[in-house]
Amino acid sequence: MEVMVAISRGRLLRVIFSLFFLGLFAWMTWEAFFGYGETNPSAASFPKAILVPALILGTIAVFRELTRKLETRSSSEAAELAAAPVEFEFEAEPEIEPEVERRRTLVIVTWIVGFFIGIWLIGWMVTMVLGPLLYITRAGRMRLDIAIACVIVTWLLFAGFLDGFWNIPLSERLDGILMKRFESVAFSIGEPVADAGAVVVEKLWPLGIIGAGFIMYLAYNLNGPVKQTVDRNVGQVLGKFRKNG
Amino acid sequence: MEAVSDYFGALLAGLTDVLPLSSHGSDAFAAMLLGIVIGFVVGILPGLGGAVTLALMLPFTFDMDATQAFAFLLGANAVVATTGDITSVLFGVPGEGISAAVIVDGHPMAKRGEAGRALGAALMSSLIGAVFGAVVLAAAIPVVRPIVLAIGSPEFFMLALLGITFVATLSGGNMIKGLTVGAFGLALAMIRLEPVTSIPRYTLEGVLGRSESLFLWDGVNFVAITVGLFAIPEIIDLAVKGTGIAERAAGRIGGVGQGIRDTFRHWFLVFRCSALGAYIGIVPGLGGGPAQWMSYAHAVQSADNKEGFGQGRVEGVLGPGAANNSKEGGSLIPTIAFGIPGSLSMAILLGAFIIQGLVPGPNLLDPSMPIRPDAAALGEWSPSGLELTFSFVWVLIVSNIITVAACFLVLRWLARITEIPGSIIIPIILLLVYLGGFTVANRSQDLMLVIIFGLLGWVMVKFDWPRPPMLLGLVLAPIAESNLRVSTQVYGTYGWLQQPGVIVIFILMVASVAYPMWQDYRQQRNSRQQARMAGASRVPVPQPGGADGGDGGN
Repeated sequence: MEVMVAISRGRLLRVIFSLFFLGLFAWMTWEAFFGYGETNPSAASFPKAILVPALILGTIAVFRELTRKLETRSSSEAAELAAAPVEFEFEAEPEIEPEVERRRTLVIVTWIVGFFIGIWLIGWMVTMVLGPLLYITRAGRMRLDIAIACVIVTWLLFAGFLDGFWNIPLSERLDGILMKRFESVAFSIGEPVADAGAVVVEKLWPLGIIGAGFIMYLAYNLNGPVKQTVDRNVGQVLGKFRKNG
Repeated sequence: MEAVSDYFGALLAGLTDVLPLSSHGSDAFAAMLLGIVIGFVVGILPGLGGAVTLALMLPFTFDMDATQAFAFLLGANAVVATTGDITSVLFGVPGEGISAAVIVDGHPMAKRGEAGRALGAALMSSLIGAVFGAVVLAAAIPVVRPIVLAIGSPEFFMLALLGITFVATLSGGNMIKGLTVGAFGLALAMIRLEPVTSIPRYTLEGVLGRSESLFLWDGVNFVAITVGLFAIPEIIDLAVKGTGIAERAAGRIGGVGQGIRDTFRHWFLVFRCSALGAYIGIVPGLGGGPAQWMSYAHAVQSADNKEGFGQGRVEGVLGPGAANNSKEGGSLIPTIAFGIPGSLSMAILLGAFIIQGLVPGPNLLDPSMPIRPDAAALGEWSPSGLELTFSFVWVLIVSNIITVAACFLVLRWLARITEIPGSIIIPIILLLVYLGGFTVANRSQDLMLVIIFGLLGWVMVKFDWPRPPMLLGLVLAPIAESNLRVSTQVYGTYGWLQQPGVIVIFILMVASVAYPMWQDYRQQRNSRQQARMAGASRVPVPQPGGADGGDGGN
């Protein structure tokens, strides 16, 4: 019974898919005769020549889907194997259960759509880094260091070679909707801050150096591990000088 | 005499155009090397088809000149068939669909320790096949040129339809579906401003709004559709089946020299299979599948002693190895001369012609007219059509020489590429797919096309609808439409149908549709006859206590 239901559902989906072609041809033919074709017959001559036979073909295809017996193997695969003069099987052809196949298909389709949404929302550059990182660690279940190495190679390939060398404007044109909004918000907040920062740096840079030195002194004295590390390394260096001296 | 000197002049010029003997030659040589590297990786890795890779490489040819672009693309395509044999021999998994036949005898040879011999035979026969195919291409040009010049617009229109019909009917699978999908491809190409009257056709203004539908005015993005249609289903397949085909190391690869000697010992077999492959390549729609199996069958049939085939006979490797590569040269003939792609890879290459602004046909066989007439005025170099065509010949030869030489040097390390897991390859391919769709016109709407046609392609695979005819329809539609327009203007609305060439091509189309139907009918009739004979020949078995095994009789 379950098999019958599955076969019926499979056949229904196939018929619906073949109806898609028929429907498209029907709409396009209608437009060619009664849409733009009515006022511009010369623009519709090639469409009419192609779409009328296409309608007939589409109808035959729907009819055949309605009446065909479902095969266990695709017809092109069967034709290929029939052409082979010897019987053989590929050695490493994995057998996958239908449930596992469905789950894996759903997962990969989600990732494919996810990459598209990532490029659309947050832009190419960020997706180019995040996408492979997430895929290799989550879907591929590989170690983070391998994922990071792959991301670096990907970045070198795309940002370095294609964007930098081949001048494909990825960073300019594929900024992402959210990234554009973020940039505009950041710009409206950040510009005055950046201007103020520029003035500070220009006028007060000696104070900056003193301040950085004071922070380093505090870090050395207050932070135990930092103090120990610095003492050990400095001691080693000084010891070498004394030995050589 | 002048024609002969033009021919050999263009032949020699084509060679210098792809070697680093001049600045443009160096550029083309570098592009070819890059294509070869890409072809190496693609050919070795199962799950990445040569045609998909060509589609992904297409957008990067926009900034190249024609010689560079085709050196890049043909270099990759020529190599894929050669390197696909490596995994077929070592692991019993075809790196490419067209390398499946090599497994039959190549993998058993590897299992009994003769991997090097099998690889040597496969690689050397591939090289000889490639050179043979290139020579056939070069030799066919003077023969084909007068035919091409005699063909007019009505015949070119019919040839476009013939190409789609051949691919739909000869490439296996359901013929009606193939023709329907071919018509779908033609219909997709109609989505644009009509070229002469600039009337928007099917640009969905009512649905998307005027501003959003503007991106359809130039037509649908061929590259975005191609990469989506072919690459996305392959990515899904790769993820579902899992990868990492090398479940064990390749082992010792010795005896390569023996394989090379075997190739020359069986030189006549290699020659015949090369000829078979080139002939099959010329016929549109047959492609690599039939070429490899028909050459294998020929190797078996022509052997004096048929014992051992399927268990490790070197002849079983030589035949398919030669045919796979010679078909490339053969399939370029109808593509260049008539604009009829001989295979899916050629259909994508035809897209490259369009990107470069080249029209297949007489222009590509003309030794005098540069392919860019404005080049001289701009002080730039531009080859003639015939010179460009001969550069294809030399790219096939040079790239295969480089490939085979490199394979012999780095065979063991090449095999390591197969250990790369799919979870690393998939995100990179996915990014390349989206990049490929975007870079043609720098429009983010094309990314939507990639997704839509990617999912459509996957559904087509699931429901057993062929995809190549759709691509052919998309590529050939502009050629078909322009030739139909000229035909109706010159001969009248229906007058062009009476041209003899049109009638001949129409008969060929009908024959290519009717022949598979007739074969199907014959097969079904034979099956019915056999079933009837099997039923009639059943002898009733006498049962104890009865004559006819019934209820004991009276």
